[in-house]
Amino acid sequence: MSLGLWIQPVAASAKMNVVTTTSDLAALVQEIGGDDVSVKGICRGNQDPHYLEPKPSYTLMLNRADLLIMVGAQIEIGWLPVLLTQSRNPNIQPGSLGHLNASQGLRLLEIPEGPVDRSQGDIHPEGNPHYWLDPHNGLIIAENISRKLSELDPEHAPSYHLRLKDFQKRLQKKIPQWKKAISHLAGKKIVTHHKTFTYLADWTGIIISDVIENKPGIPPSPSHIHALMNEIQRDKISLILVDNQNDPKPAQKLGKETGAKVLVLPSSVGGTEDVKTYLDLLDHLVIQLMEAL
Amino acid sequence: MLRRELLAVIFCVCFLSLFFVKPLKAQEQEIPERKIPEKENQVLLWKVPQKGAAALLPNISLIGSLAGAYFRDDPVGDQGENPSRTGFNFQGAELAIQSIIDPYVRGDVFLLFLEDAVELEEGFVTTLALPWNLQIRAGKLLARFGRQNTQHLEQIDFADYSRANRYFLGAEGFGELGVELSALFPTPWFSEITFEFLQGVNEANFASDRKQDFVYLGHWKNAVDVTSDLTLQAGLSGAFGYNGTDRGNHTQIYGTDLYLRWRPSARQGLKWQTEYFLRRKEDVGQTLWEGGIYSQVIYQFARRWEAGIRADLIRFPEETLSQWDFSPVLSFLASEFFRVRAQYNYVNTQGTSEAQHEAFLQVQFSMGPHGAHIF
Repeated sequence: MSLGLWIQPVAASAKMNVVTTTSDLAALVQEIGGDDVSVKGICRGNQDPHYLEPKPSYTLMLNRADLLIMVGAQIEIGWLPVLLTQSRNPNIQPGSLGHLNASQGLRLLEIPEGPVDRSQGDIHPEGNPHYWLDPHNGLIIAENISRKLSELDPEHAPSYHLRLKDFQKRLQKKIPQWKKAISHLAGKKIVTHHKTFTYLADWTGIIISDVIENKPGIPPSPSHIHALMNEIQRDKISLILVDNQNDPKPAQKLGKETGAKVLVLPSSVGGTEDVKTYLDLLDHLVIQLMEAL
Repeated sequence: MLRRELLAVIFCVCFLSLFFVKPLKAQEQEIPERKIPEKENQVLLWKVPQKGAAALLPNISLIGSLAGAYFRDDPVGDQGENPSRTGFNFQGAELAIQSIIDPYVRGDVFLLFLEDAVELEEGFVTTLALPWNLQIRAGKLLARFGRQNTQHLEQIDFADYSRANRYFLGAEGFGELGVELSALFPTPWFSEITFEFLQGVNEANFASDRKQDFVYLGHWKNAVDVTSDLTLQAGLSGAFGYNGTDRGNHTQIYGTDLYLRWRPSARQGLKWQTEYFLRRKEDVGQTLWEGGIYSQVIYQFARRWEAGIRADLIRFPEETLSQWDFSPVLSFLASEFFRVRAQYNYVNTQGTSEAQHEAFLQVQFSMGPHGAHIF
């Protein structure tokens, strides 16, 4: 049966098979697609999408997919191309109808200026890829997903549109509530481990004064840690954020030395057990931040 | 002869293209030093070319391996990319040129620069859009025999290939010109069958001089996720052809491979890989049966550290003669793109009075976007 699945366009009766590279995108597809699609995410919420290992089971997922949705901005560059080649699925190759880069139409932050090389660590020439942590971006990603689902499966387009409007309504209602809950944090300086929370800081008004892993993917040098220690004490920074895919030890050491509070947070849906949807994720982040400061 | 000339031309083109790439990059780096006041100018100067023609350039990457080595007795004969003498060894620089060609095929070329030669390590096109889960690769391929033979030097977790692999498939590996057809089965687990039709120039096994003597190879690979952190992979291989000892003399090699991968996080993991080889080779007036096995375990105990051990056992056709070795290894992976590795080999050949000792200190570096290899 699965042999025939991708040869023909999506059959009227069969559910569309959607594969996403991350759990966040899978959660958003679930919101928009509901029961009309079947969705699977490759990278789990507690795995780092930069360093996933391309397993044969992922090849199989892609082989049987009608639609692949990726984060883009090179976050999957280490593992997705080889899986795509092995998948033998022409419908989801870059440039095909069944291939969606979810970052379409988004304004990415931290696009490096000037020449790029790896003395700066494993940087992303297209910008910081952790864009889903801004709910305003969530609105656009959901719209991208809805448009693509409707294009591939016009029969269910009205349902996709309804679910999109419902989701956007719920999200738009939440944004001012979240902002209000942590309004006292706007303008406060914090330190993060990796550049995971850049977008979170951007919409909440929190200022990321420095990052521990100042060169992405490269552990910090002792001199950088020392400089951070001085910076934290000088600027009276009271919070250090670590995403739960990274080693919390350098942050904990810094916290111990300076008295700053260390908060380990999920950066993706499924990162902790109670975070099951996109709204859960942002709720969780806001509540944790609210209680921390 | 023609092939050698073709190779020379490819090499020249690639070499010349390096000169075109370099001045461009140098120019980019000079820009900030010239202190252009407006940010817009800077963006124009370096961003526009990237988005224009440069976006259509193939991905170009280079992986280099250097090793310092000690051998109690230096090995004799061609060692391929394995360290071959006491002192400094340039194991090779693999220049990868990779690109999607059109909606139907992609191309991958791996040129191997050795100390005094350039070889086409692999160079093939792969189909992307065949029906019925089929895929064809055509060109120069590392034959899909077992697991280690398909892996490049930077993938094998050691400074040298296993002795069993080198003994049965040759020190340079089993790479041939030919065509490969593979199919993915519609099973709930990953199950792939591969057939290869190859030229047959591998000196260890298939160097027949008759023009009709090709090599046929079959490989069946299965993989299943036991848990979300644990993957088990098993394969069967067989290669059949004629050898150069006499007219019509057959060589048959059979192999089985087993690979277990446990990776609970980016900071911890285990790889256990075992391959068994069995060879039947018709020689002048006799038929030789030989068998060999290697097994290796690599344990990642920190984000950037791995330690491992490998053991080989080869049983030669001469009655009771056998060889075994034992290789501990320690690797420091400074970043995704640079690593340093120390390895020791203890080699014991029955019938010789003294054991062989080998020690390597290897440095590997990677430039460019060369992505992941297959699992």
